[in-house]
Amino acid sequence: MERPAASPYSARTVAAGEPHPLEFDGLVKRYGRRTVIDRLSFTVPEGAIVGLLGPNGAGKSTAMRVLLGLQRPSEGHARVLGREAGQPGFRAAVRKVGAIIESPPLYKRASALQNLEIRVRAYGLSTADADVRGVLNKVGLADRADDAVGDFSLGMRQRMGLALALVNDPSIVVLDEPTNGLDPGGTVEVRELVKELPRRGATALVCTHRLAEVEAMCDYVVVLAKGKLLRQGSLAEVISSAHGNRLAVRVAPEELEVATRVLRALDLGDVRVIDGEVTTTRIPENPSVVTRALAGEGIYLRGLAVERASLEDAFLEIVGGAAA
Amino acid sequence: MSAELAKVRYLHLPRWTAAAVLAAAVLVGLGLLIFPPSDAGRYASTSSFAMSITLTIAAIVYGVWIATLEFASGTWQRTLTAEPDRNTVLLAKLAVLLLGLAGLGVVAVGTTIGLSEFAASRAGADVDQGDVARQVAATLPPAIAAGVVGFGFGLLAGSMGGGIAFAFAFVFVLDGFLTQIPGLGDWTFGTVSGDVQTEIAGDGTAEHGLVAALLVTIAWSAVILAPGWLRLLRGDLK
Repeated sequence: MERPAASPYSARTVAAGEPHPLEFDGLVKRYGRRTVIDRLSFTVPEGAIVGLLGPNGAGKSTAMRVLLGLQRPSEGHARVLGREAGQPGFRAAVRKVGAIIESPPLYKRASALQNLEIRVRAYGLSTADADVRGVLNKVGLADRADDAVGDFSLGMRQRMGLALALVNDPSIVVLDEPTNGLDPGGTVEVRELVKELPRRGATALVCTHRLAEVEAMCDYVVVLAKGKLLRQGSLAEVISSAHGNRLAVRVAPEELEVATRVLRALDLGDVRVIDGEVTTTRIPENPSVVTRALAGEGIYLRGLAVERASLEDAFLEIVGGAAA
Repeated sequence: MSAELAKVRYLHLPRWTAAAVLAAAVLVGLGLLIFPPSDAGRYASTSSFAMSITLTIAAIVYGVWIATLEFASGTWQRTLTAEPDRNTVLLAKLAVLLLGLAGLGVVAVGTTIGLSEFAASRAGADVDQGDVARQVAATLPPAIAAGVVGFGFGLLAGSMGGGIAFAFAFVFVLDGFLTQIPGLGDWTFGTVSGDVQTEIAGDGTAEHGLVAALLVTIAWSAVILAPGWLRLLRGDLK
Protein backbone atom coordinates (compact mmCIF):
# COMPACT_ATOMS: atom_id res chain seq x y z
CA MET A 1 0.00 0.00 0.00
CA GLU A 2 1.25 3.47 -0.76
CA ARG A 3 0.33 6.78 0.71
CA PRO A 4 0.93 10.18 -0.84
CA ALA A 5 4.11 11.81 0.32
CA ALA A 6 3.31 14.24 3.13
CA SER A 7 4.83 17.01 1.13
CA PRO A 8 2.17 18.68 -0.96
CA TYR A 9 4.71 19.37 -3.67
CA SER A 10 5.96 15.86 -4.02
CA ALA A 11 4.79 13.83 -6.93
CA ARG A 12 6.55 10.85 -5.42
CA THR A 13 4.90 8.40 -3.13
CA VAL A 14 6.19 6.84 0.05
CA ALA A 15 5.36 3.30 1.12
CA ALA A 16 3.02 3.21 4.11
CA GLY A 17 4.95 3.41 7.37
CA GLU A 18 8.18 4.29 5.62
CA PRO A 19 9.61 7.52 6.98
CA HIS A 20 10.67 10.44 4.83
CA PRO A 21 14.43 10.95 4.70
CA LEU A 22 14.09 14.38 6.30
CA GLU A 23 11.06 15.86 7.97
CA PHE A 24 10.27 19.06 9.86
CA ASP A 25 7.04 18.94 11.80
CA GLY A 26 5.92 22.14 13.51
CA LEU A 27 9.50 22.95 14.44
CA VAL A 28 10.00 25.99 16.64
CA LYS A 29 13.42 27.21 17.77
CA ARG A 30 13.84 30.12 20.14
CA TYR A 31 16.97 31.77 21.48
CA GLY A 32 15.70 33.44 24.62
CA ARG A 33 12.72 35.47 23.52
CA ARG A 34 13.74 35.55 19.86
CA THR A 35 12.02 33.01 17.65
CA VAL A 36 14.31 31.99 14.80
CA ILE A 37 12.16 29.14 13.45
CA ASP A 38 8.42 29.41 13.67
CA ARG A 39 6.33 26.25 13.15
CA LEU A 40 8.31 24.97 10.22
CA SER A 41 6.84 21.92 8.50
CA PHE A 42 8.03 20.29 5.33
CA THR A 43 9.44 16.99 4.17
CA VAL A 44 12.22 16.04 1.83
CA PRO A 45 11.08 13.16 -0.39
CA GLU A 46 13.38 10.23 -1.04
CA GLY A 47 15.64 10.68 -4.03
CA ALA A 48 14.85 14.38 -4.36
CA ILE A 49 17.14 17.38 -4.35
CA VAL A 50 15.39 20.07 -2.35
CA GLY A 51 16.64 23.66 -2.31
CA LEU A 52 16.17 25.50 0.97
CA LEU A 53 16.13 29.21 0.21
CA GLY A 54 15.83 32.29 2.32
CA PRO A 55 17.50 35.61 3.04
CA ASN A 56 20.20 35.89 5.71
CA GLY A 57 18.78 35.09 9.13
CA ALA A 58 15.88 33.09 7.71
CA GLY A 59 16.72 30.14 9.99
CA LYS A 60 18.03 27.75 7.33
CA SER A 61 21.26 26.76 9.09
CA THR A 62 19.50 26.54 12.45
CA ALA A 63 16.92 24.19 10.93
CA MET A 64 19.75 22.00 9.62
CA ARG A 65 21.48 21.97 13.00
CA VAL A 66 18.29 20.94 14.79
CA LEU A 67 17.80 18.22 12.20
CA LEU A 68 21.24 16.76 12.94
CA GLY A 69 20.83 16.94 16.71
CA LEU A 70 23.33 19.76 17.21
CA GLN A 71 20.64 22.02 18.58
CA ARG A 72 17.47 21.14 20.45
CA PRO A 73 14.04 22.19 19.27
CA SER A 74 12.00 24.50 21.48
CA GLU A 75 8.85 22.82 20.15
CA GLY A 76 7.94 20.44 17.37
CA HIS A 77 10.11 17.88 15.66
CA ALA A 78 12.90 17.49 13.13
CA ARG A 79 13.44 13.92 12.00
CA VAL A 80 16.02 12.00 10.02
CA LEU A 81 14.53 8.79 8.60
CA GLY A 82 11.69 9.17 11.08
CA ARG A 83 13.94 9.55 14.12
CA GLU A 84 14.68 12.65 16.09
CA ALA A 85 17.63 13.40 18.35
CA GLY A 86 17.46 11.53 21.63
CA GLN A 87 15.19 8.81 20.25
CA PRO A 88 16.31 5.21 19.82
CA GLY A 89 17.46 4.73 16.25
CA PHE A 90 18.62 8.32 15.78
CA ARG A 91 22.27 7.27 15.89
CA ALA A 92 21.83 4.81 13.02
CA ALA A 93 19.75 7.36 11.08
CA VAL A 94 22.10 10.32 11.44
CA ARG A 95 25.12 8.19 10.50
CA LYS A 96 23.55 7.93 7.04
CA VAL A 97 23.81 11.70 6.66
CA GLY A 98 26.73 13.61 5.17
CA ALA A 99 26.57 17.29 6.02
CA ILE A 100 28.29 20.64 5.76
CA ILE A 101 26.62 23.43 7.68
CA GLU A 102 28.07 26.89 7.07
CA SER A 103 31.87 26.57 6.92
CA PRO A 104 33.40 23.17 6.15
CA PRO A 105 34.26 21.40 9.44
CA LEU A 106 38.01 20.92 9.09
CA TYR A 107 40.97 20.28 11.36
CA LYS A 108 43.14 22.87 9.66
CA ARG A 109 46.50 21.55 10.88
CA ALA A 110 45.78 18.06 9.54
CA SER A 111 46.20 17.08 5.90
CA ALA A 112 43.27 16.32 3.60
CA LEU A 113 43.92 12.61 3.95
CA GLN A 114 44.24 12.82 7.73
CA ASN A 115 40.98 14.78 7.94
CA LEU A 116 39.24 12.03 6.02
CA GLU A 117 40.88 9.34 8.12
CA ILE A 118 39.62 10.97 11.32
CA ARG A 119 36.16 11.11 9.76
CA VAL A 120 36.04 7.45 8.70
CA ARG A 121 37.48 6.31 12.03
CA ALA A 122 34.61 8.12 13.74
CA TYR A 123 32.32 5.71 11.86
CA GLY A 124 34.35 2.77 13.09
CA LEU A 125 35.82 2.23 9.62
CA SER A 126 39.39 2.14 8.44
CA THR A 127 40.79 4.02 5.48
CA ALA A 128 40.87 0.67 3.68
CA ASP A 129 37.09 0.28 4.13
CA ALA A 130 36.32 3.77 2.85
CA ASP A 131 37.73 4.87 -0.48
CA VAL A 132 39.26 8.07 0.87
CA ARG A 133 41.55 8.65 -2.10
CA GLY A 134 38.63 8.03 -4.45
CA VAL A 135 36.59 10.68 -2.65
CA LEU A 136 39.49 13.14 -2.84
CA ASN A 137 39.75 12.40 -6.53
CA LYS A 138 36.02 12.98 -6.97
CA VAL A 139 36.26 16.47 -5.46
CA GLY A 140 39.45 17.31 -7.35
CA LEU A 141 41.88 17.24 -4.41
CA ALA A 142 43.78 14.02 -5.13
CA ASP A 143 47.01 15.92 -5.77
CA ARG A 144 46.72 17.84 -2.47
CA ALA A 145 45.99 14.78 -0.30
CA ASP A 146 49.02 15.28 1.95
CA ASP A 147 48.80 19.07 2.31
CA ALA A 148 47.44 20.71 5.46
CA VAL A 149 43.91 21.92 4.76
CA GLY A 150 44.68 25.16 6.61
CA ASP A 151 46.74 26.14 3.57
CA PHE A 152 43.85 25.49 1.17
CA SER A 153 42.00 28.29 -0.61
CA LEU A 154 38.34 28.93 0.22
CA GLY A 155 37.22 26.90 -2.78
CA MET A 156 39.50 23.99 -1.92
CA ARG A 157 38.21 23.98 1.65
CA GLN A 158 34.72 23.82 0.23
CA ARG A 159 35.72 20.82 -1.86
CA MET A 160 37.26 19.26 1.23
CA GLY A 161 34.00 19.80 3.11
CA LEU A 162 32.19 17.97 0.33
CA ALA A 163 34.68 15.11 0.54
CA LEU A 164 33.96 14.84 4.27
CA ALA A 165 30.23 14.87 3.61
CA LEU A 166 30.51 12.12 0.99
CA VAL A 167 33.19 9.84 2.47
CA ASN A 168 30.73 7.70 4.44
CA ASP A 169 28.68 7.11 1.25
CA PRO A 170 25.62 8.78 2.79
CA SER A 171 22.06 8.17 1.69
CA ILE A 172 21.13 11.71 2.77
CA VAL A 173 23.26 14.77 2.06
CA VAL A 174 22.69 18.11 3.78
CA LEU A 175 24.72 20.92 2.24
CA ASP A 176 24.82 24.54 3.32
CA GLU A 177 26.22 26.78 0.56
CA PRO A 178 28.13 23.95 -1.17
CA THR A 179 29.43 26.19 -3.98
CA ASN A 180 30.59 29.00 -1.71
CA GLY A 181 34.00 30.24 -2.83
CA LEU A 182 34.23 27.95 -5.84
CA ASP A 183 35.32 29.16 -9.25
CA PRO A 184 32.92 28.61 -12.18
CA GLY A 185 34.55 25.28 -13.05
CA GLY A 186 34.33 24.10 -9.46
CA THR A 187 30.73 25.22 -9.25
CA VAL A 188 29.83 23.09 -12.25
CA GLU A 189 31.70 20.09 -10.76
CA VAL A 190 29.89 20.41 -7.44
CA ARG A 191 26.58 20.82 -9.22
CA GLU A 192 27.22 17.61 -11.13
CA LEU A 193 28.19 15.81 -7.92
CA VAL A 194 24.94 16.89 -6.28
CA LYS A 195 22.85 16.02 -9.33
CA GLU A 196 24.42 12.57 -9.33
CA LEU A 197 23.17 11.86 -5.78
CA PRO A 198 19.60 10.79 -6.69
CA ARG A 199 21.01 8.47 -9.37
CA ARG A 200 22.65 6.43 -6.62
CA GLY A 201 19.54 6.59 -4.45
CA ALA A 202 20.58 9.47 -2.21
CA THR A 203 18.49 12.45 -1.14
CA ALA A 204 19.80 16.00 -0.81
CA LEU A 205 18.80 19.14 1.04
CA VAL A 206 20.79 22.05 -0.35
CA CYS A 207 20.82 25.49 1.15
CA THR A 208 22.26 28.21 -1.05
CA HIS A 209 21.94 31.84 -2.00
CA ARG A 210 22.91 31.06 -5.58
CA LEU A 211 19.49 30.83 -7.15
CA ALA A 212 20.90 29.87 -10.54
CA GLU A 213 22.43 26.83 -8.83
CA VAL A 214 19.08 25.90 -7.35
CA GLU A 215 17.46 26.16 -10.78
CA ALA A 216 20.17 23.92 -12.18
CA MET A 217 20.19 21.33 -9.39
CA CYS A 218 16.97 21.12 -7.45
CA ASP A 219 13.65 19.39 -8.04
CA TYR A 220 11.84 21.17 -5.23
CA VAL A 221 12.14 24.46 -3.47
CA VAL A 222 11.30 25.56 0.06
CA VAL A 223 11.41 29.29 0.82
CA LEU A 224 11.86 30.56 4.37
CA ALA A 225 12.05 34.05 5.79
CA LYS A 226 12.25 35.06 9.44
CA GLY A 227 11.93 31.40 10.39
CA LYS A 228 8.61 30.94 8.63
CA LEU A 229 7.81 28.76 5.66
CA LEU A 230 6.67 31.05 2.86
CA ARG A 231 6.40 28.74 -0.11
CA GLN A 232 7.16 25.17 -1.07
CA GLY A 233 6.64 23.40 -4.31
CA SER A 234 8.30 21.94 -7.33
CA LEU A 235 10.75 24.29 -8.98
CA ALA A 236 8.32 24.82 -11.87
CA GLU A 237 5.42 25.53 -9.51
CA VAL A 238 7.33 28.10 -7.52
CA ILE A 239 8.64 29.87 -10.61
CA SER A 240 5.26 29.81 -12.32
CA SER A 241 3.68 31.45 -9.28
CA ALA A 242 5.74 34.59 -9.89
CA HIS A 243 4.58 37.66 -11.74
CA GLY A 244 6.51 38.05 -14.95
CA ASN A 245 5.32 34.73 -16.31
CA ARG A 246 3.42 35.51 -19.45
CA LEU A 247 1.93 33.44 -22.22
CA ALA A 248 0.86 35.47 -25.26
CA VAL A 249 -1.32 33.85 -27.92
CA ARG A 250 -1.90 35.51 -31.29
CA VAL A 251 -5.05 34.50 -33.15
CA ALA A 252 -7.24 36.08 -35.79
CA PRO A 253 -9.02 39.21 -34.46
CA GLU A 254 -12.47 37.64 -34.85
CA GLU A 255 -11.34 34.67 -32.72
CA LEU A 256 -10.04 36.69 -29.75
CA GLU A 257 -13.24 36.35 -27.73
CA VAL A 258 -13.46 32.56 -28.09
CA ALA A 259 -9.72 32.15 -27.46
CA THR A 260 -10.02 34.20 -24.25
CA ARG A 261 -12.86 31.96 -23.05
CA VAL A 262 -10.83 28.80 -23.83
CA LEU A 263 -7.73 30.03 -21.99
CA ARG A 264 -9.78 31.12 -18.97
CA ALA A 265 -11.09 27.59 -18.77
CA LEU A 266 -7.49 26.31 -18.51
CA ASP A 267 -6.88 28.13 -15.21
CA LEU A 268 -3.97 30.18 -16.44
CA GLY A 269 -4.31 33.07 -14.04
CA ASP A 270 -5.38 36.46 -15.25
CA VAL A 271 -6.39 36.16 -18.92
CA ARG A 272 -6.94 39.33 -20.96
CA VAL A 273 -6.55 40.78 -24.43
CA ILE A 274 -3.64 43.18 -24.81
CA ASP A 275 -2.56 44.67 -28.13
CA GLY A 276 -4.46 42.08 -30.15
CA GLU A 277 -3.02 39.12 -28.19
CA VAL A 278 -4.59 36.96 -25.50
CA THR A 279 -2.20 36.96 -22.54
CA THR A 280 -2.16 34.85 -19.39
CA THR A 281 -0.20 35.32 -16.15
CA ARG A 282 0.42 31.59 -15.66
CA ILE A 283 2.20 29.23 -17.99
CA PRO A 284 1.08 25.61 -18.15
CA GLU A 285 3.81 23.00 -17.55
CA ASN A 286 3.32 21.93 -21.15
CA PRO A 287 2.23 24.81 -23.43
CA SER A 288 0.89 22.32 -25.97
CA VAL A 289 -2.29 22.07 -23.86
CA VAL A 290 -3.07 25.59 -25.08
CA THR A 291 -2.58 24.61 -28.72
CA ARG A 292 -4.77 21.56 -28.32
CA ALA A 293 -7.54 23.40 -26.45
CA LEU A 294 -7.71 26.14 -29.09
CA ALA A 295 -7.60 23.60 -31.91
CA GLY A 296 -10.56 21.88 -30.25
CA GLU A 297 -12.53 25.10 -30.84
CA GLY A 298 -11.29 25.29 -34.41
CA ILE A 299 -8.85 28.09 -33.63
CA TYR A 300 -5.38 27.91 -35.08
CA LEU A 301 -2.51 29.92 -33.67
CA ARG A 302 -0.78 32.66 -35.53
CA GLY A 303 1.81 32.88 -32.82
CA LEU A 304 2.61 31.80 -29.23
CA ALA A 305 5.19 33.43 -26.99
CA VAL A 306 6.26 32.31 -23.53
CA GLU A 307 8.03 34.68 -21.13
CA ARG A 308 9.17 32.89 -18.02
CA ALA A 309 10.05 34.50 -14.74
CA SER A 310 13.26 33.28 -13.14
CA LEU A 311 13.59 31.70 -9.69
CA GLU A 312 15.16 35.00 -8.65
CA ASP A 313 11.97 36.85 -9.68
CA ALA A 314 9.86 34.35 -7.75
CA PHE A 315 12.15 34.41 -4.68
CA LEU A 316 12.25 38.20 -4.47
CA GLU A 317 8.51 38.36 -4.90
CA ILE A 318 7.83 35.75 -2.21
CA VAL A 319 10.29 37.20 0.29
CA GLY A 320 9.40 40.79 -0.57
CA GLY A 321 5.70 40.03 -0.17
CA ALA A 322 6.32 38.52 3.26
CA ALA A 323 8.36 41.56 4.34
CA ALA A 324 5.56 43.89 3.23
CA MET B 1 37.87 6.38 20.48
CA SER B 2 39.81 5.57 17.33
CA ALA B 3 38.91 8.98 15.84
CA GLU B 4 40.02 10.77 19.02
CA LEU B 5 43.34 8.92 18.96
CA ALA B 6 43.78 9.92 15.30
CA LYS B 7 43.22 13.59 16.25
CA VAL B 8 45.93 13.35 18.90
CA ARG B 9 48.20 11.70 16.36
CA TYR B 10 47.65 14.15 13.53
CA LEU B 11 47.13 17.53 15.18
CA HIS B 12 49.98 19.67 16.37
CA LEU B 13 49.25 20.70 19.95
CA PRO B 14 49.58 17.27 21.59
CA ARG B 15 52.85 16.71 19.78
CA TRP B 16 54.26 20.09 20.81
CA THR B 17 53.08 19.60 24.37
CA ALA B 18 54.71 16.17 24.53
CA ALA B 19 57.88 17.59 22.98
CA ALA B 20 57.95 20.40 25.55
CA VAL B 21 57.55 17.95 28.46
CA LEU B 22 60.26 15.65 27.15
CA ALA B 23 62.52 18.64 26.50
CA ALA B 24 61.98 19.73 30.12
CA ALA B 25 62.85 16.23 31.31
CA VAL B 26 66.07 16.27 29.28
CA LEU B 27 66.92 19.82 30.43
CA VAL B 28 66.52 18.84 34.09
CA GLY B 29 68.83 15.88 33.53
CA LEU B 30 71.37 18.06 31.72
CA GLY B 31 71.14 20.67 34.45
CA LEU B 32 71.90 18.08 37.12
CA LEU B 33 74.73 16.75 34.98
CA ILE B 34 76.32 20.13 34.32
CA PHE B 35 75.62 21.66 37.75
CA PRO B 36 75.69 18.73 40.20
CA PRO B 37 74.08 19.66 43.54
CA SER B 38 76.13 19.36 46.67
CA ASP B 39 73.27 17.74 48.59
CA ALA B 40 72.49 14.22 47.30
CA GLY B 41 68.82 14.65 48.24
CA ARG B 42 68.51 17.46 45.70
CA TYR B 43 68.70 15.01 42.79
CA ALA B 44 65.29 13.63 43.72
CA SER B 45 63.70 16.91 44.86
CA THR B 46 64.87 18.93 41.87
CA SER B 47 63.68 16.29 39.40
CA SER B 48 60.40 15.87 41.24
CA PHE B 49 59.73 19.62 41.42
CA ALA B 50 60.55 20.16 37.74
CA MET B 51 58.38 17.26 36.61
CA SER B 52 55.53 18.28 38.89
CA ILE B 53 55.32 21.79 37.40
CA THR B 54 55.94 20.70 33.82
CA LEU B 55 53.50 17.79 33.86
CA THR B 56 50.79 19.82 35.61
CA ILE B 57 50.98 22.66 33.08
CA ALA B 58 51.16 20.25 30.14
CA ALA B 59 48.25 18.22 31.49
CA ILE B 60 46.08 21.33 31.85
CA VAL B 61 46.94 22.50 28.32
CA TYR B 62 46.29 19.05 26.88
CA GLY B 63 43.06 18.64 28.86
CA VAL B 64 41.71 22.00 27.75
CA TRP B 65 42.76 21.34 24.15
CA ILE B 66 41.03 17.99 23.88
CA ALA B 67 37.86 19.46 25.41
CA THR B 68 37.78 22.53 23.19
CA LEU B 69 39.08 21.17 19.89
CA GLU B 70 35.65 20.81 18.29
CA PHE B 71 34.58 24.27 19.47
CA ALA B 72 37.71 25.86 18.03
CA SER B 73 37.57 23.99 14.71
CA GLY B 74 33.79 24.21 14.29
CA THR B 75 33.80 20.42 13.98
CA TRP B 76 31.01 19.40 16.34
CA GLN B 77 28.80 18.81 13.28
CA ARG B 78 31.12 16.14 11.86
CA THR B 79 31.83 14.60 15.25
CA LEU B 80 28.16 14.36 16.22
CA THR B 81 26.89 13.13 12.87
CA ALA B 82 29.25 10.18 13.26
CA GLU B 83 28.43 9.67 16.95
CA PRO B 84 25.39 11.65 18.12
CA ASP B 85 25.59 10.36 21.69
CA ARG B 86 27.42 13.22 23.37
CA ASN B 87 28.22 11.12 26.47
CA THR B 88 30.03 8.61 24.27
CA VAL B 89 32.01 11.36 22.55
CA LEU B 90 33.00 12.93 25.88
CA LEU B 91 33.94 9.58 27.40
CA ALA B 92 36.14 8.83 24.37
CA LYS B 93 37.84 12.22 24.73
CA LEU B 94 38.36 11.70 28.46
CA ALA B 95 39.75 8.21 27.89
CA VAL B 96 42.20 9.52 25.28
CA LEU B 97 43.20 12.32 27.67
CA LEU B 98 43.93 9.85 30.47
CA LEU B 99 45.76 7.47 28.15
CA GLY B 100 47.78 10.28 26.62
CA LEU B 101 48.75 11.76 29.98
CA ALA B 102 49.64 8.36 31.39
CA GLY B 103 51.74 7.51 28.32
CA LEU B 104 53.48 10.87 28.18
CA GLY B 105 53.93 10.88 31.95
CA VAL B 106 55.55 7.46 32.01
CA VAL B 107 58.00 8.42 29.26
CA ALA B 108 58.79 11.82 30.80
CA VAL B 109 59.11 10.45 34.33
CA GLY B 110 61.24 7.55 33.08
CA THR B 111 63.50 9.94 31.20
CA THR B 112 63.87 12.20 34.23
CA ILE B 113 64.61 9.32 36.58
CA GLY B 114 67.15 7.84 34.16
CA LEU B 115 68.95 11.14 33.55
CA SER B 116 68.87 12.12 37.21
CA GLU B 117 70.41 8.82 38.27
CA PHE B 118 72.96 9.07 35.48
CA ALA B 119 73.90 12.59 36.63
CA ALA B 120 74.20 11.40 40.22
CA SER B 121 76.43 8.48 39.27
CA ARG B 122 78.62 10.75 37.14
CA ALA B 123 79.01 13.10 40.10
CA GLY B 124 79.69 10.18 42.41
CA ALA B 125 76.75 11.22 44.62
CA ASP B 126 75.32 8.66 46.97
CA VAL B 127 71.61 8.79 46.09
CA ASP B 128 68.84 6.34 46.90
CA GLN B 129 67.72 5.37 43.41
CA GLY B 130 64.40 4.04 44.67
CA ASP B 131 63.74 7.37 46.37
CA VAL B 132 64.40 9.30 43.14
CA ALA B 133 62.10 7.01 41.20
CA ARG B 134 59.31 7.23 43.79
CA GLN B 135 59.51 11.01 44.13
CA VAL B 136 59.50 11.64 40.39
CA ALA B 137 56.83 9.01 39.62
CA ALA B 138 54.63 10.48 42.35
CA THR B 139 54.21 13.65 40.29
CA LEU B 140 52.15 11.79 37.69
CA PRO B 141 48.79 11.16 39.47
CA PRO B 142 48.31 14.84 40.51
CA ALA B 143 49.21 15.88 36.94
CA ILE B 144 46.55 13.54 35.55
CA ALA B 145 44.04 15.06 37.96
CA ALA B 146 45.07 18.52 36.74
CA GLY B 147 44.46 17.33 33.18
CA VAL B 148 40.91 16.32 34.11
CA VAL B 149 40.43 19.72 35.74
CA GLY B 150 41.62 21.33 32.49
CA PHE B 151 39.20 19.15 30.54
CA GLY B 152 36.34 20.24 32.81
CA PHE B 153 37.14 23.93 32.54
CA GLY B 154 37.64 23.57 28.79
CA LEU B 155 34.16 22.12 28.39
CA LEU B 156 32.74 24.85 30.55
CA ALA B 157 34.47 27.70 28.72
CA GLY B 158 34.14 26.28 25.22
CA SER B 159 37.39 27.93 24.21
CA MET B 160 41.06 27.15 24.62
CA GLY B 161 41.92 30.57 26.08
CA GLY B 162 39.00 30.58 28.49
CA GLY B 163 39.60 27.00 29.59
CA ILE B 164 43.29 27.58 30.27
CA ALA B 165 42.59 30.81 32.13
CA PHE B 166 39.95 29.16 34.33
CA ALA B 167 42.06 26.05 34.97
CA PHE B 168 45.25 27.98 35.81
CA ALA B 169 43.31 30.38 38.00
CA PHE B 170 41.78 27.47 39.87
CA VAL B 171 44.89 25.32 40.26
CA PHE B 172 47.39 28.08 40.97
CA VAL B 173 45.30 30.82 42.64
CA LEU B 174 41.80 29.94 43.79
CA ASP B 175 42.80 26.66 45.34
CA GLY B 176 45.19 28.60 47.59
CA PHE B 177 42.37 30.84 48.76
CA LEU B 178 40.20 27.81 49.50
CA THR B 179 42.78 26.59 51.99
CA GLN B 180 41.83 29.58 54.15
CA ILE B 181 38.26 28.36 54.56
CA PRO B 182 37.90 26.52 57.89
CA GLY B 183 36.86 22.91 57.39
CA LEU B 184 37.57 22.99 53.65
CA GLY B 185 41.18 24.07 53.95
CA ASP B 186 42.48 20.58 54.57
CA TRP B 187 40.52 19.12 51.70
CA THR B 188 41.21 21.46 48.79
CA PHE B 189 42.17 20.04 45.42
CA GLY B 190 45.77 21.15 45.87
CA THR B 191 46.01 19.72 49.36
CA VAL B 192 44.61 16.29 48.55
CA SER B 193 46.37 15.90 45.21
CA GLY B 194 49.58 17.00 46.97
CA ASP B 195 48.90 14.33 49.60
CA VAL B 196 48.58 11.71 46.88
CA GLN B 197 51.99 12.76 45.61
CA THR B 198 53.49 12.83 49.08
CA GLU B 199 52.08 9.43 49.99
CA ILE B 200 53.39 7.81 46.81
CA ALA B 201 56.76 9.50 47.29
CA GLY B 202 56.83 8.05 50.80
CA ASP B 203 57.68 11.33 52.56
CA GLY B 204 55.32 10.55 55.42
CA THR B 205 54.25 14.19 55.76
CA ALA B 206 50.80 13.93 54.15
CA GLU B 207 47.73 15.11 56.08
CA HIS B 208 45.57 12.31 54.67
CA GLY B 209 46.17 8.69 53.79
CA LEU B 210 46.61 7.69 50.14
CA VAL B 211 43.14 6.23 49.68
CA ALA B 212 41.33 9.19 51.25
CA ALA B 213 43.44 11.69 49.36
CA LEU B 214 42.93 9.81 46.10
CA LEU B 215 39.17 9.59 46.56
CA VAL B 216 38.83 13.27 47.37
CA THR B 217 41.05 14.16 44.40
CA ILE B 218 38.74 12.12 42.16
CA ALA B 219 35.73 13.80 43.76
CA TRP B 220 37.19 17.27 43.08
CA SER B 221 37.88 16.27 39.48
CA ALA B 222 34.30 15.04 39.09
CA VAL B 223 32.87 18.22 40.63
CA ILE B 224 34.89 20.39 38.24
CA LEU B 225 34.06 18.14 35.30
CA ALA B 226 30.31 17.99 35.89
CA PRO B 227 29.16 21.54 34.96
CA GLY B 228 30.97 21.59 31.60
CA TRP B 229 29.90 18.04 30.82
CA LEU B 230 26.23 18.84 31.58
CA ARG B 231 26.46 22.08 29.63
CA LEU B 232 27.68 20.18 26.60
CA LEU B 233 24.99 17.52 26.94
CA ARG B 234 22.20 20.07 27.09
CA GLY B 235 23.56 22.95 25.05
CA ASP B 236 23.23 23.95 21.42
CA LEU B 237 26.31 23.37 19.28
CA LYS B 238 27.52 24.63 15.93
